[in-house]
Amino acid sequence: MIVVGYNLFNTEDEQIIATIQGEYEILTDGQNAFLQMIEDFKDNENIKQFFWGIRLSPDEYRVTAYQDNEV
Amino acid sequence: MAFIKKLAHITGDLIVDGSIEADQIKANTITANKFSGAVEEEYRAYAESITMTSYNTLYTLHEFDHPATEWEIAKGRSIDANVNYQLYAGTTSNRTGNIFTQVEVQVPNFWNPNAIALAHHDSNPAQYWQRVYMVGNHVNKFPSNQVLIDLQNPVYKSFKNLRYQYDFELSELVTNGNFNNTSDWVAQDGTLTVPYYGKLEGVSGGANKAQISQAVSVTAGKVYRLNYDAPVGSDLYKIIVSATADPADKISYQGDLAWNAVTGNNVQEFVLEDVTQVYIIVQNLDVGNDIAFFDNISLKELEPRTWVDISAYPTNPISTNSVLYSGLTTGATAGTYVVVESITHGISNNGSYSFNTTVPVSAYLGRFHRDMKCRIRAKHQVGAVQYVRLQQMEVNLHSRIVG
Repeated sequence: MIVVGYNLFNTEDEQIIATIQGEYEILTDGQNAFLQMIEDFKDNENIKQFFWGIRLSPDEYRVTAYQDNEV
Repeated sequence: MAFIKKLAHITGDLIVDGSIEADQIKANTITANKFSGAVEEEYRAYAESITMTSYNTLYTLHEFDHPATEWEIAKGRSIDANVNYQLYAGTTSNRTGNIFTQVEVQVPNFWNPNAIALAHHDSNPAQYWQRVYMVGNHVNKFPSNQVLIDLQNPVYKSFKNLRYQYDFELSELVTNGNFNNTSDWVAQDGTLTVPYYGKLEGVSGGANKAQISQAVSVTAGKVYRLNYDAPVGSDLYKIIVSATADPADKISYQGDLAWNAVTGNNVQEFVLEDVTQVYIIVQNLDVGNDIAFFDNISLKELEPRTWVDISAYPTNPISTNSVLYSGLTTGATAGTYVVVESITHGISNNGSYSFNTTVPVSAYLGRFHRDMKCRIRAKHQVGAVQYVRLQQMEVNLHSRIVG
């Protein structure tokens, strides 16, 4: 199971929160969703990185790759 | 007619002024001024003075390329770095937290996955983990991060517990090795009985040593393990692996395959070359009515295996068997940086304004030849400090021919 999401900088408490945008069983679905997510959120300067990962269990996922958001 | 000569042996020195071409050259020692295709290549990178002020924010410590290998020979590629950090607390109050250091590589525009081996399902050692094995030693083909399964419907998976085992025991080749009865063994110059263990008694006044034997089918060139027990401290025996039922035809491999049993369990390992059948012979030590006790005679082929546990959420990715490939890119899109290895290091100022620590980080990229863009990044989670600073970082980029 592919996990895509982003690291969001919260300006109030200055913490970075990982937010999962979606999960996909098919690789190409995950890749398309990842690229679409970058296109949708690339202008949000509070998003520091987009991440790509794998779900290991219902409660655990592992980030395996990053795309920095160059705002 | 072409000149063909096999198994030529030269004793002494062979001087060749020209060149030698061969598909394979085996030698105990090779001395050379230069290997044209380098067995090993070593490169380096260096960085210093990067200040990380923000909490939990990734900083790039250094970007560098891992150079393509000479002659485009596929080699095992690795990145090893020693990262020296300074925690500058700016106070003597206790400040404690973690530093995360990660080695990343950039997914290239084109990437041809490298095959590892055919993996077979074995078991599920824990929920959401599938244990598989591959015949042979393939550990150097796994990158640090992921594997890829099924090129048609690609699935990338994390893994753990990667290991090589040289001696996985295949099925038992000896029948009735625990002597429940006297079947399957042929007695000669004596009588086999099974009072509790196997018991072989020779003939009083007989001229030959008593023996029992059993023919076993084997595969030439494979490694075998022979187990046998001597349950009684006296009345011992000799065990022989022979090409026939005659102990005189014992097989030799780095010495004769014949051993006197010692009390307790005995284990021997050997290669059986050029034979497809052998005889396991138990022979009394002396002629006449000598007695031997024995038990649990076992011969098994040893299969070299590579074991690994693959992430299996939500279901097993391999039903029966499937080829594993290097999953270095984790399926991420071109240009994305993949985290190949990540190290979490605890740090504290220990009551000082400033505290230094060194973090080693190591990533194995698998076996390939091409250029690869790399970087090392870090973040800290130490609250209420002035900064964490990269003082200096020595990076070693290694490429080595691996099996």
